[in-house]
Amino acid sequence: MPSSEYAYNDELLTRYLLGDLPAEQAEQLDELSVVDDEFAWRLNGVENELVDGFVRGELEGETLQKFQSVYLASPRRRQKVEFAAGLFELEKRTALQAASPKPTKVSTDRWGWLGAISFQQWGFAAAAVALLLIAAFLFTDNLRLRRQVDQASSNSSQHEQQLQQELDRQRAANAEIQGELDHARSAGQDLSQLKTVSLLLPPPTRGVGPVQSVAVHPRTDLVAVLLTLESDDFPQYRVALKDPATQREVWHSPDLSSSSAAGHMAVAVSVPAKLLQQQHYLAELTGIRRNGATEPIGDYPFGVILR
Amino acid sequence: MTKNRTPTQDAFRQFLDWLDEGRGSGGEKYLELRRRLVLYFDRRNCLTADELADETLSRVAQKFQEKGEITNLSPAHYCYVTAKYVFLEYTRRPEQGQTSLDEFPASRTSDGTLAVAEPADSESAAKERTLDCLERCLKKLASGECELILEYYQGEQREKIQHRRLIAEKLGLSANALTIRACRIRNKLEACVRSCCEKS
Repeated sequence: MPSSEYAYNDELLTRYLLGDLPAEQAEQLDELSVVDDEFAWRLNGVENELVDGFVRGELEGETLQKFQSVYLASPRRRQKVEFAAGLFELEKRTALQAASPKPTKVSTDRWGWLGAISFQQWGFAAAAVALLLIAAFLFTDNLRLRRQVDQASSNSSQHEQQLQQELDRQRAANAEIQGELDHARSAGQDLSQLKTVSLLLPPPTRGVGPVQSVAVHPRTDLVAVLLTLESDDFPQYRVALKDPATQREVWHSPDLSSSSAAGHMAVAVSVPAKLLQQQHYLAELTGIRRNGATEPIGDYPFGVILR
Repeated sequence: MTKNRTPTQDAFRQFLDWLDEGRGSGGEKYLELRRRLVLYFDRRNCLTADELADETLSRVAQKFQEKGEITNLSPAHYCYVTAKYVFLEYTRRPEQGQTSLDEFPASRTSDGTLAVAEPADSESAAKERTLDCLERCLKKLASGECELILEYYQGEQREKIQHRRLIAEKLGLSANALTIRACRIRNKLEACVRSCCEKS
């Protein structure tokens, strides 16, 4: 395959980087990415532009969605994004420094009248200004200290309340999982030796957060995954587990309702551990309206480590 | 899977020469191929991309040492074919690249209770560390390289394209050659920042 066919097709290369090409085509590009110098450098350039586009907020629509769900699923690629963000920040700081006004020279003619004031008069004026500044400082500092004392006492009780709420929500989430297990038990499964691991995933965001991993022991039966919601807008939800490399659906949940977990609303699913391999996965969350209409909410990437 | 395949110094030098295909890159080609293999495995969502790239090159070096020459495929192509086999083995052997359970705060075994993973440090601290490392690594670049990388990424959209055209003219390079030079510097800088962040 001539590499020039692909060398300047940025859109195709972007789709390749986002795992959006059919397997056969992706494999052809895999090969070129290793064996063809021109292609490898072009791909390197397109990847840099893609990552820079993300940190500058230029990506949108499906490209942005794929970037968040597929590209950011790898720790190495997230490091690349962090680096690009650093480069961008440095560029902003440099531009800001260049744009800041330089001190201007004062014309001595224009301000020459100052010279007419005597040294003694300057001394009195300076002392008066200093006294005024000290008085103003003491006054504002007093106010600040008072505010801090008031805030500290109110924060203390607020913090206690927050902790209590958090604890209540945590208990409710545990009860939810326990409920699922009870339900499975009542369905006739032998759960006396059931072993689970669980993972709480934050809502998908634009930021470069760490992709969380869960370690699965050979004797683990269930992996409980809690998908935190940014807002609880649907009466029911459905979760599909996908392989980000192939977009193949590995498993999907029945219709679920949300519950409270660790201070946030979340959708909890229990995935049979035997279905999972050592790789990254995407938990694709869909909202279901009362009339049955479905709406995609977001992709939650996570990794599985087989122990 | 891993056997003792450490080649002798002479054998390794011959292997590097073969990878170079007579260009005398002084090991650059080896490093570049390794980088591409790491990216290949990473795009396939392998958790141990670095190890798999090393495993691939190690197998190719061993094969080269055994046969004395490999003539049916170019060195890069041979490495790619070997990488495909290494990848297949990786997918069939899930125990490859195991990481201790203790290294993952998210994955404590429980009897139904939640295990919430906490990031190693806060986002802002990580950002500051990256910036700090970036500034340090920029200082390590040759002055021409440092200027080029900072200028190359300046501006947005059309302004950036125009800016790059001017840089290429100034340096007497084609647009493609400038992209490659910028990529090389950026890769070097990225590797330095990654190593610096890991150390700190």
